[in-house]
Amino acid sequence: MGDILHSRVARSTMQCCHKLGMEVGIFGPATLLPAGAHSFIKPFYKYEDALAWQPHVMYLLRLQLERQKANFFPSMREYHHTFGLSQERFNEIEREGIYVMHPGPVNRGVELVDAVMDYERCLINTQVENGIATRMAILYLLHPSNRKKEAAAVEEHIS
Amino acid sequence: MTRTLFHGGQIVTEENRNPIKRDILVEDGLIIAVEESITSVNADTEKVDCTGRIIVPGLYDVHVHLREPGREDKETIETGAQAALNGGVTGILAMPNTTPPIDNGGMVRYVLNIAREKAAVTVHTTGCITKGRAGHALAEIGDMVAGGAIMITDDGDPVHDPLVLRRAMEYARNFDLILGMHCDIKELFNEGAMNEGAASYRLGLPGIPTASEEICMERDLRLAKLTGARVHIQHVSSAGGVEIIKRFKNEGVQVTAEVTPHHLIFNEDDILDYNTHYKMNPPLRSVEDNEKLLEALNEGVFDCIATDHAPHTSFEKKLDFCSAPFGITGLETALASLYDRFISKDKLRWDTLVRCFSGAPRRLLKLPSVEIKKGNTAEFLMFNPAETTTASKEFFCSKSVNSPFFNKTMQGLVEKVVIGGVVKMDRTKSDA
Ligand SMILES: [Zn+2]
Repeated sequence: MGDILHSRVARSTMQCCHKLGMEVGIFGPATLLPAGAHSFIKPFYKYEDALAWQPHVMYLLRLQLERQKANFFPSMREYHHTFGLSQERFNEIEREGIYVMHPGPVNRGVELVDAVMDYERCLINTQVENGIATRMAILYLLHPSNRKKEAAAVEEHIS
Repeated sequence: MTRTLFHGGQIVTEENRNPIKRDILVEDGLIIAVEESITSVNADTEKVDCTGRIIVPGLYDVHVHLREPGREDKETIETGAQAALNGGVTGILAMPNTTPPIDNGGMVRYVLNIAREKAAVTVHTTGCITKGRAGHALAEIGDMVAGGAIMITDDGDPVHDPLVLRRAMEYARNFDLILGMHCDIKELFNEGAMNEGAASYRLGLPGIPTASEEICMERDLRLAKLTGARVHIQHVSSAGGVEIIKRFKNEGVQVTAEVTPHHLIFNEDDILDYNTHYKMNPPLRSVEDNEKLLEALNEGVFDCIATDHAPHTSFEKKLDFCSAPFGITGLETALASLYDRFISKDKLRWDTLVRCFSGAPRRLLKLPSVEIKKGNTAEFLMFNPAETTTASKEFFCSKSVNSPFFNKTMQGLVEKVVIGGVVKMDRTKSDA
């Protein structure tokens, strides 16, 4: 949900989700929905329609605030009410038990209201935590000396 | 429970080429029967004799300038609605170029609140595409829709920057919203006061080429094709414009278009005495354009007839031709003028008129139908083709009289207007 057009997170996550057998829909200002999105992606133009699709997870995207100047949407206020998780929308999400994700950092009051952050099924802090561990592991593996060591360890393990 | 029988009249429908004889029985505002002859009615049923009258579903004008707020000396929502009623127009769509402009949800709610309190007909409003109609930043379109706006337009001006327009077209999709397009290229329009051609040369007035309209229309429709937006081309004035609309309609672009009575009836040669009642934007074109526009109306290229009712004070219209403001009033003379010039001469059929001036405009805006059939609200006018309309100062309900029909007489008269089953305007009574 949100700025799909400019989001690398969205581009890779959507393909990953698809590979894992999930259905993927997108919702946001039509100015920020890509015209050339993969055919497996279902676009929604209204929040109500997206909700009626009964998603298990809502994955919000960070809004670059300078997009307003480029006329992708008229104001933060309208973005929040139309494309974000307002208090009313969050109440419904909580009732339905829908998981909420966001790559962070969050613009509070724009993509979501504060209450979402304390929601039991809000995975945002877990995402941050796992994100750090994953990045550490990748950086570690990318370092040439570590790669040799790892390879040796693996070889040792096999033999 | 009140029952009224409108008997002896001929009703206009979109399905029948010509008006057909029908009696209409109305109960508590709703039409409960439409039959060739309704004779068995209760004794307490009120009867309205419509013999010799054409009964037309209430007209809807998608292009009206109500001037409130800002220029209440020219028109108010109340007087504009009164003018509409006077002309048999039972629904109007207000343009947002007021002062300040209707460019946010608060303004939309303000205008609709006044309308609810004071307007004699149904008043809807548009909202601006850009903040302040300045063409730079998107207006809060979502909030305006939430407030009740049913179209966005910067009417009076095009959206100058094509990127801003593209974004607006995309953004409108989130709200299923139609965009009204006023097409001209500011730089080509320049200081023009009338159509560019032999007449402007003869009169020594700066001209506005049709290319100004055509280029902008072409641009707007290409963007509509790119974005998949629903666009409505306002007040098409030229044969070239007609061709462009036809082409994009054939390509499947979601475009509708309107034509005004004045662009059908008048042309540049009517300006011979520098009469500012013939000055409007877009300007009157040539006699060939008149013919082409009428042909396009009859062929179904135009979806709507709209008046572009644009009141101005007499003082302003008395300025010299170049200094006087653009625009004329139209709500009160539209139907009589179209009957006088075209319908009575078999150049336009009633079914086309009612499709373009009542049915299609409401469908375009997703408003309920007022066609004369069982179950619908009783909203229609009675037109007397045997009477005449003289557009005198006393005739007009608008605050302004800047009309090319001023003090002229036309064949045909809007005699009564019924809204919600109640006779809201009755000229047979006020004359008595
Ligand atoms: Zn206009």
